[in-house]
Amino acid sequence: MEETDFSGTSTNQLIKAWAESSIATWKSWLDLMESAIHNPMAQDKTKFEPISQRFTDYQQLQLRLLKLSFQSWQELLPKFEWGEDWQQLLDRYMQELRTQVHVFSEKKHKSSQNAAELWQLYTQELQKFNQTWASTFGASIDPFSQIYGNNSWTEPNHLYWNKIYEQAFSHFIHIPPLGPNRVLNHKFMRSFDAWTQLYPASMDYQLVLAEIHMQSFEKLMKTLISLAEKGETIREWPQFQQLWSQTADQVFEQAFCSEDNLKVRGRFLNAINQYKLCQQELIETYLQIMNLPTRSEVDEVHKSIYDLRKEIKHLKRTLAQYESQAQIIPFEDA
Amino acid sequence: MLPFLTMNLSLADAAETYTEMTKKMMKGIENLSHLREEDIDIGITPKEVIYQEDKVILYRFKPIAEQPLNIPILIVYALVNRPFMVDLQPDRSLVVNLLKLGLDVYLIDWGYPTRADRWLTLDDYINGYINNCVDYIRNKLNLPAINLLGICQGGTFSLCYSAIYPQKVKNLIVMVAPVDFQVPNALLNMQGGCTLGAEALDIDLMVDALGNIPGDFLNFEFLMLKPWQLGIQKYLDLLEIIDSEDKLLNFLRMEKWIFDSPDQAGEAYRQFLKDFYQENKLIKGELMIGDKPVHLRNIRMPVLNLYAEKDHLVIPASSLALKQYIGTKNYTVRSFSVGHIGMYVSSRVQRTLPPVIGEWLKAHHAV
Repeated sequence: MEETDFSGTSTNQLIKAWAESSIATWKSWLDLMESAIHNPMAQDKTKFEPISQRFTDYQQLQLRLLKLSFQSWQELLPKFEWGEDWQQLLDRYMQELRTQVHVFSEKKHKSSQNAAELWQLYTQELQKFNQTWASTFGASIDPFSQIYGNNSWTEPNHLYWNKIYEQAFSHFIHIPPLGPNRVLNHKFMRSFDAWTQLYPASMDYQLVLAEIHMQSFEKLMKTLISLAEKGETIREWPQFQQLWSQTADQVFEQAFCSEDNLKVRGRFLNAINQYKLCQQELIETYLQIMNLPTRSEVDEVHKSIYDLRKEIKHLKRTLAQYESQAQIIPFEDA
Repeated sequence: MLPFLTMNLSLADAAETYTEMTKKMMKGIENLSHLREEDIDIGITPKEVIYQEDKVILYRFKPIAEQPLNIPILIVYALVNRPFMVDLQPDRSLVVNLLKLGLDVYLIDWGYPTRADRWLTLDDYINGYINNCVDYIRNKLNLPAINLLGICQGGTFSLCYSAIYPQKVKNLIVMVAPVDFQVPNALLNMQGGCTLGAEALDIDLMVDALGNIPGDFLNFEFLMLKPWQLGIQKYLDLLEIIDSEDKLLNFLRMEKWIFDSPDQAGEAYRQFLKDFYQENKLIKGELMIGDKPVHLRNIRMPVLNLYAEKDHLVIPASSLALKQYIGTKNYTVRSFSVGHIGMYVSSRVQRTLPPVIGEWLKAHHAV
């Protein structure tokens, strides 16, 4: 096959342009992936939004890590090939990553200790939750809003914050409440308590994932160097990303085979479910006031239908058995 | 920084790579531009509904052979995902290949449980739906027993069923079926609480909170077993095959199947997680399905155990444990050098696996 001559200046320029376009193509593909990674469950808060949101956030993080890993390898490889100190550079990258995680961890620690901030975050969350039904029922539930003397549906949250939590109850959240609204108050408090469990559990889980990112990055770099030492230097992008995903998944699997990490994940999942149960209790209170059927009541109806359906099937089977027995009994014995 | 290795890359190589990539992209864009959701069809082998109960449908595939084997085979798939993985596309269909081998093939479709089904238990699935489907086929064909092919969780269900009703199962085939749920280093099982119980996942709390378990949650669970390869790498690799319409369609069919995940009936899922994953009752002989005890030693019919050597969902040791708990001496095991999904979609496996089933069944036809 005839070899193409790339020596001409204009050809070089053309190929350079091609190479740049090629880079742009890959970048567009990655950018497209990044933009495509959105949370389709975002509108579906009744299902499992925290998990799905976490996963999509995580996918974006993974893509950023892929780019960072590639950048590191591009800087590391020439140093290795020139016999320079690549370890120092790797240490610098690791340090940067650790600093980022440390800052994140500190923030988390601070906010966990700052009850005011926690309550603010909680009320933000609760406002979103309130919106799901408030927008639907709107002014038709006016009498309920008057209980709090304000038309805003987020006002109860502020009321609790100002009058009950901030001034008096902050750390006595489990004390049985008093007065006509004690049941509702108790549910709010339980929900807040569940949320305060969820918040740090979620942060802890993210910290585990961040640590896995760091470990996988370090392992990837060391594997790349070790392959280069054996003369199997990774130069192609597809090879790089294959190695990257295999290495990262191995680290991930090893990390979650550890009981400590499994417990962190378990606390996160259990806290989500506990919070969801508390949310449901609150929603049911509103629904009862509106004289609307609650989830528990519908479940009860479904359970009755299920039991009845089962009983009918059993009766039909029993009847069929008697009928078939009756058919085989000889006439004179019948 | 842009993700492309320019270091030490000659201009000639760069040009060639770019040319190839551009061609792929252009062709890929063209392919995508005329593809529609309706083109991604799965489960298209002709079949008829022969029995229906609640949301469960029993299908019979139209036989290809003029004289199919007189003892049919009933495929029992998992509750997780749809059963049409066994009939993904004409050239990669376990069902079509079994039909070509002269088998009479039936399939249970569990349907999509809604909140009204949250109270369904494993008793309803195994002593109810499976038993009724088996009885329907037996009565229709006037047979004392039929062949069962249980796949994945459906394999575990088939083991329970065969242990409870051994007289109704002529031959039992299980494929990538978990048996021992507490084998070491199985991430899915550990996340389900096989080592830590409720500390890893409080299933009572989850079912109480959610009612049914959303299919999306299970999708995330499976993706998070290999988050990089399944969440990122797979889509990066898409660029490599996007120029081939056939490969792109295969990719999209898989994508459609993977994310077509029915919710799980709450009570059934609660029992499955607790009794199987967390307490491993199946192999301990402590399992009860409804009021019926499950003793694997009651399985005395011939058993064929098929597993995938690179399975990360049901690791081989979990399936291989079967041998030491069943009562039959007629036990055959075959493995395939693929992962869990490869058992259904690998072209190589689709050439070798159906004949293994067909020949084994024919050999045990009169046993």
